[in-house]
Amino acid sequence: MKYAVILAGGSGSRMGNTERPKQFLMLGDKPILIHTLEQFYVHPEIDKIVICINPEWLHYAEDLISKYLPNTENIDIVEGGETRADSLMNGCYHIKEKYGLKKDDIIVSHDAVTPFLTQKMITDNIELCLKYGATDTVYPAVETIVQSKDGKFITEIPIRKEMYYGQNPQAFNIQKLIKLFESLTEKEKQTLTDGCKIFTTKGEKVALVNGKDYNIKITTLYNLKVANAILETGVNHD
Amino acid sequence: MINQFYRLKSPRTFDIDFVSEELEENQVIVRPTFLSICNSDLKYFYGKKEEKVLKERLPLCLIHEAIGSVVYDPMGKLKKGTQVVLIPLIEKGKKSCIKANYLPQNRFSSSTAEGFTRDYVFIDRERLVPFEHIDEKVAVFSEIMTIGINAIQTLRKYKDSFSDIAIWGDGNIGYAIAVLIKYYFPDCRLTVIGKSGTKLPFFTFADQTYTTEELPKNMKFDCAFECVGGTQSVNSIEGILEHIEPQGFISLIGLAEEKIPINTRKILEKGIVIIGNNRADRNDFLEAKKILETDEIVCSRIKILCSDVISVTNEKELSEAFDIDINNEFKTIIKWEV
Repeated sequence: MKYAVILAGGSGSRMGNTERPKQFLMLGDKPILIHTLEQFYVHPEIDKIVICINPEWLHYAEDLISKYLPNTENIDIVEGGETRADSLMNGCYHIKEKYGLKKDDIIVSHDAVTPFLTQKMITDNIELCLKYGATDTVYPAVETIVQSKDGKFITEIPIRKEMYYGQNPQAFNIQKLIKLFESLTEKEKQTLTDGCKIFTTKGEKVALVNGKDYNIKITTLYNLKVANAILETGVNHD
Repeated sequence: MINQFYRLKSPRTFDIDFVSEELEENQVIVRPTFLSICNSDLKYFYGKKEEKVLKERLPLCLIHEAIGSVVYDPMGKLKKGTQVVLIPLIEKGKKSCIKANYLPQNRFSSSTAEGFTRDYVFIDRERLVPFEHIDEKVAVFSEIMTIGINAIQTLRKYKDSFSDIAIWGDGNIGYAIAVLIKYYFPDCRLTVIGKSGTKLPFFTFADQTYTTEELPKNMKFDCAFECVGGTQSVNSIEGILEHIEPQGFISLIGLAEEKIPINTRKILEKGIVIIGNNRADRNDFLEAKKILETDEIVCSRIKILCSDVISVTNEKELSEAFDIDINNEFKTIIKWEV
């Protein structure tokens, strides 16, 4: 089985003065979460979708999804965790308990606030995940990246052609992800930023999938303005 | 849902637009899989259309010859993965005495409506023809076949059969029509007149082929198809009028952007019937499907139209595909992998 796990646990604190978590803000004529969800909803290879939501907004999300999607039979809404990695693992444990796990079961995980993904990004993640066990969508860095450990002076300037922006989606073999996560120490767990970090911490390979510059994550009001500016709405093309 | 439209913004420049689309009642979502470049697409791409037309229609998704795979049907009638031919004609009205492809209010993909270079196509189910057991690289040529089917079926309303048929033009349309003439009129003598020796050898099933210069002066036909188009159709129509029998039939298919002078005296003297043809309707697509599902010979001949198959994963590669197509003998198929 191929599951999508959509991470929507955020509280929206980085979006400034909005009263709702950012995944519920309108992008064009729909909430951002719905745009993202629709990409997985119509993808021919995704069997089920699990959405990990901030517990306070769980029922709101249920109502919202029922309003926009004609059939929610293949969508489960579960509580997200404290961190992104916690939410991801909540989604995995939910799948394990409700559906059981087979050797080749995979998840494609994605941020709810990254709605400009394409069919191909999902397809490529699935294909490479089945081959290598883990994938990350990346886009080559176009600007020099500078490392500073103290925030005052440059520690190092990595070679740009070796640098990529980590995007979404990511995909993982579920059994392997759970096994690796459970083998991490508490200290290692505190350093987790996403599912790929679980793999790299344990020395496991993560294959790269080509991302796109427009596959932006909407985390600030500026991002939202840009996203609204590039999205055409209300046009009949035929 | 956010959909990606790969639009021609100005000649030679494709760019991606993000469009929020709603699935309307009776629509299905299809993922295009194989596309084929048509001469009309090339005219847009190289800016060879009238300036006024380019200004009015661009930005525009090009390509109207396409097959795809169903990804979502809210009514559940078409299963995920069902292969379909996409019909470019968009019916906005009906009139019992006029065929849908000639109704002025109806629209056409990659011309008066968006073409199929999109991540997904939200499309009315009547514009889909599901198929099985047809090679994808043949099915993608359904649309070009329907041009010929429309022309031949129209001709047959006037006369049942013809014994001496000529085709002026050895390009894509000329080839597709030649294949269909041998399907509908297997006993006729088919002559193909081309401009050079490079494409004519592909017409192996024609009874005879000639370059324009080689065509014997005394050769006569009771029916001729003009498939050259453009400014050169002045010469091809002149040639046809010279060689057509009195009360013969001429089927015009090649499109000219310019006004073309025609020797009306010859038409009057010979009592010629001239029929114009443009595009096709759903029934023509169903007929193309029936032929491709049942006739192996037609399939193998149509397959020869494929000069190249190119994988396209981004807008830059889409432009490159057009540059490759213009130098190909026949047609270029795009494997749509954006």
